[in-house]
Order: sequence, then structure tokens, then C-alpha cells
Amino acid sequence: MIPYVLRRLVAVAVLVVGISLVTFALVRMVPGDPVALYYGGMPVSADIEQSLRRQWGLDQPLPVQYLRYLGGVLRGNLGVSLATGRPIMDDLVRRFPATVELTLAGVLLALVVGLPLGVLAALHRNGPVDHLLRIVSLVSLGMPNFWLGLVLIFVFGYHLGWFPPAEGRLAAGIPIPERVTGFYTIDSLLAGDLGAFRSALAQMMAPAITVAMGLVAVVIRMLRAGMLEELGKDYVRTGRSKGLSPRAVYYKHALRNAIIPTITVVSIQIGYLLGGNVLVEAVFAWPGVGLYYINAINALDYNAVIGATLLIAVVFALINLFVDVLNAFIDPRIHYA
Amino acid sequence: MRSEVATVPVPLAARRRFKWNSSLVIGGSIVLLMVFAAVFAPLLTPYDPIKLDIRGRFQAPSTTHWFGTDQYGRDVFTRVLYGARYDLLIAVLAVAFAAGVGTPLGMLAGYFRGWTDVVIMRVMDLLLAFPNILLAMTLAAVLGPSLNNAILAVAIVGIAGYARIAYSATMAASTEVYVEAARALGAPHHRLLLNAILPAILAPIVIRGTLGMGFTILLAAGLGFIGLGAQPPTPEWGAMINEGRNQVILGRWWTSVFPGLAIVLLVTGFNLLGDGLRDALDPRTR
Repeated sequence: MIPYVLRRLVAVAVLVVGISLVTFALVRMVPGDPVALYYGGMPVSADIEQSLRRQWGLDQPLPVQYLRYLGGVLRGNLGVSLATGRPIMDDLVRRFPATVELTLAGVLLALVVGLPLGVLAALHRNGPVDHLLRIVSLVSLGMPNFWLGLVLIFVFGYHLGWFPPAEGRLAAGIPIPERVTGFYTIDSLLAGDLGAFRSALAQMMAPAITVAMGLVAVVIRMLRAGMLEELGKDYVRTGRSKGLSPRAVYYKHALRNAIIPTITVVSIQIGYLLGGNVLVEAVFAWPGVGLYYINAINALDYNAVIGATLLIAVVFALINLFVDVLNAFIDPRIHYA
Repeated sequence: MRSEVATVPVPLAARRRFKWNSSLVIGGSIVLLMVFAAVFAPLLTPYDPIKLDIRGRFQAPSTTHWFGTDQYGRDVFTRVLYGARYDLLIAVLAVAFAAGVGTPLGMLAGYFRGWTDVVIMRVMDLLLAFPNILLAMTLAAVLGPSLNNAILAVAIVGIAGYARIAYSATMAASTEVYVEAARALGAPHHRLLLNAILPAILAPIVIRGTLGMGFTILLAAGLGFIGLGAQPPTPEWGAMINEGRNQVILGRWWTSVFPGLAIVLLVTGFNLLGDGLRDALDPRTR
């Protein structure tokens, strides 16, 4: 067990170095000269240009430049954003809770909706419910999430008036609760501010549904397949023949075994969501890492674009590590070779 | 003689195993319909996809403009039809590029093993270390916003998937008796790879490519939506959704909703076709 975890840790460390190699290459691919970019194309005297180049290490050979870059990345230094004038890492850290809160809300919603539907589909295999769910899943997998967001804004926001306008994490005029976790829903409750809590929840509804939509189909498919596999096994027949009710066999035994791979897949999806939600945040003006990234793209703030890419990739790697280790703990059948 | 040993049984076996199914038929029909719309767009509509008509802007869907008109008075139905050209072209080019680069890389790694394997597959792992859409957007941003760069970005992101499939399929095929036999008869590496192994691993690559088409369309539309793909006035679906975005909150839903529906239809078509092909070509994975 311990050697397995150590080996995975080393593998992730190597991967992070690899990720930094890719992002360094991306930084080098950025069109135009960095000094000219820094001064917005205005003419710069040769002296200033020389000293900037020396200061940024651009006069060094490439391997040295990379090692400097890697050293900076490992210390959490991603450079300064041209658009905000602040260190990119600070910007990202400040915005990270918004992204995590939205992602977790979406995942939670997907599980609450998807798990019962997955069981239902398995128990009524090839029945009308199963077919309907299959069609719904199929269509939802073909849906661009940014488009679904716009449709929700139109139908439930503009037309029915159920959702507030998409203007971020809180309605205009509501003060931000004191920061404890960075999750507005939790912080507002801790501060005892029910008005802010309601607003935070209302603002999160539509984007969370958008995030959940793509995931629900995955949950239903995985759990349905897992349940069907478990229901065909000997222990289910044994349970039924010794007189256990179907309910006990399905929910106490089969579901417990079937749910493990579903949870694993959903956990890995969280990493992908951190990337995919970039577009959802853009549609709903949700001020997380994704919106920061999109704004950086529009401002041609390449360091910020690449910095956000690196951070999300590293978090993605850590999530996968966490899922692997957790699975090894939960399921003793996983061998650590 | 050697190549006959290697290739003849495979197409025969494939023909025997191929079973039609409803996913295949429905998905195939949807895709064919879209190809038809793309090819015959000028015959299917009297309007121009680019020409402005400021007086006729913001018309709701009607019998003259089935999908309404956008903020420049252009017929949305016409633009959706012409858009099929761009989104299909992006998907075909990007998938062909990704499969064309990824498959040989995976085959080389799986065939030669050793250092070739380590170097190629670790690079592929690096590509997979980034969430797809994020890597595609960052690449497109760094390369500069244009249709060609978007295709290139989406293609690069896709390479690793094909390499992985080709890699494991090649390793499995290398131990087959007919490959051993060809090797024993002294067939050179390139002949083993092209005549013996490639036909055996083609089915999973084709299935992946079909499913990859839908995925690629979603990625490319996402790039178009944030302005990194096709540029206005190109009637690419993602870019159209973006152009209509500010109209949606004003109640003019049609400019963004119809191109989105076209995406859903085409992606679903490719997904069905891919699932159907998998069932038809390889009953073991049912």
C-alpha cells in the first residue's frame, strides 16, 4: 500500500515537471517579442530593452530559461498578469473557490439526479423508462454546455423568470459574506446572512444545472451498467433464494458494489469539468478561474492564459492521484503492482 | 505470399461479423442528412449566408425565414445550412490529422517497445495531462485566432487518444499467430506493420474516429464560441451562437438556439454511428 502511494506520488511529480515543460513551450510559442508585448508595441530604448531582457533571463540559453521557469512554477510564481497587474498566482488562488463551488454543486446535482435514474434504468431494463433515459442521455452528451447555458438563461431566466439574471455569484447590491471557506453558500450561512445565502444559491442554480447536465448522462450510463453486472451475479441469486426482499438485495447489496466504479468515473470527471467549465463560467459571468482564463484570452494576456492552464492541469493530476489512492483504500481487490 | 497470409482473412472475417443495427442506421442517416445539407446548401435556400440586410434584421421565425434572421438581417436557416460545411470540414480534417499522426506513433511504440515506446507514450501522457478543451483553447490562443489554427489545435489534442488505442491494439496483434508466422518467414518491419498489424487494428481506430467526430465538433464549436475559431462572418455554428449570445437575453432566442440544435443533431448522429459501428464490427464489446 505505502509503496504504491509513493510510486504514484513520484509519477505525479514527474508529470507536473512534464506539464511545466509543455507550458514553457507554449510561452515560447507566443507570437511577438515579450518586450514589445510588455510595452504594448510602443518604441523602447535599446538600454531598457537590454536590461529587461537580462532581468527576465531572455539572454540565457533555453535550458537555463526553462530551469528558471520551473523554479518559479515550483515556488508558485507564474509571472505577472498584463491585464490586472497582479501576480497571476494570486489572481488564480482568489478565484479558485468560485470554480470549485460551482463544480461541486454541479457534481452533487448530477449524483442526486443521476443515481436514482441509473438504478431505475437498470431495474426496468429495456422498458420504456430505460429507453427514454437512453435517448435523454444520448442527446445531453451531444449538447455544447455553453449553448445549454444560453438556453437555460432564455427559458428559465428571461421567459419564466425563475432564475435571476446571470451576473455572477451574488445579486447586485448584496455584500459578500466574510471569507472563511471562499464558498459563498457556506460563508453566508456561517455569517448568519440568510439573504446572501438565498442569493448565492439562486445565482448558482442555472450554471450548476448546466455543469450537471453533461455529467448526469455519464452517471446514469455507468450505474446502469454496473447494476446490471451485479444483478447477474451469484450473490444476488443467493440473496433472493434465501428469502431476502428484492429491495434489500438491490439497494443493500447490488447498489453498494455497483456504485464504486460510478463514483470513480465521476471523480475523474471533476478534473475534466475544471477545464470544460471555462465556457460555462463565461456564459454566466461566474467569476472563477475559467472566466479569468477567457478574459485573459481576450486581453491577449498570454502569461495569464498559460498560467491558468498549468494550474488546472496540476489540479487535474492531483485529483487523479487522490482518486487512485482513495480507490486503493476502499477496494481491497485493487492490487498495487 | 506473406502478405496474403496476413491480410486476406481479415476482411473476410470483418464481413462475416458485420451486423446492422438501429444505432448505425439512425446515426448514419443523420450524418448523411447533414452532408446533404452541406453539399446542396445553395440549392436548398434562396438566401445568401453572408450578405447583410439591415432592414430585415431580428425577424422571428416565420414561413419566409424558417429560423428567423440575425442582427445583420441574414437568414439563420441559410447560415445553419452553410455552417454544416464548416463544422463537417473541421471535424473531418482534425480527425484525419489526429488519427493520421496518432495511429503510426502508437503502432511504432507498440511494435518496437523499448525506448521508442517510452519516449512516444510519455509524450502522449503529457498531452492527456491537460483537460482537452483547455489545451485546445490555449493552443488556439497562442497560435492566434483563425479557422486553420483552431483545426490544428483540436487535431493536436486528439492525437494521444489514437496513439493509445493503436498502441494497445498493436501489442495485442503482435502476439497473434499470423504475425508470428509472417515474422518467422522473414517479413521486414514495415511489411509486418502495414500488411499484418494495420488491418487488424483498423476497426478500433475507425470506431474511435467516428466517435471522435462528434467530440471534435463540440471542441471546435467551443473555440468558435469564444472567438478562437472561425471568425465572423463565417457561418460556423459555434461562432453563430456567440454572435447571437447578446440577443438571447433580449428574448431573440433563434439566432443562437438553431445553430446549437444543429450541433446537437450532428454530434448525436456521429455518436450513434460510432456506437453502431462498434457493435457491428466488434460484438465482444457489447
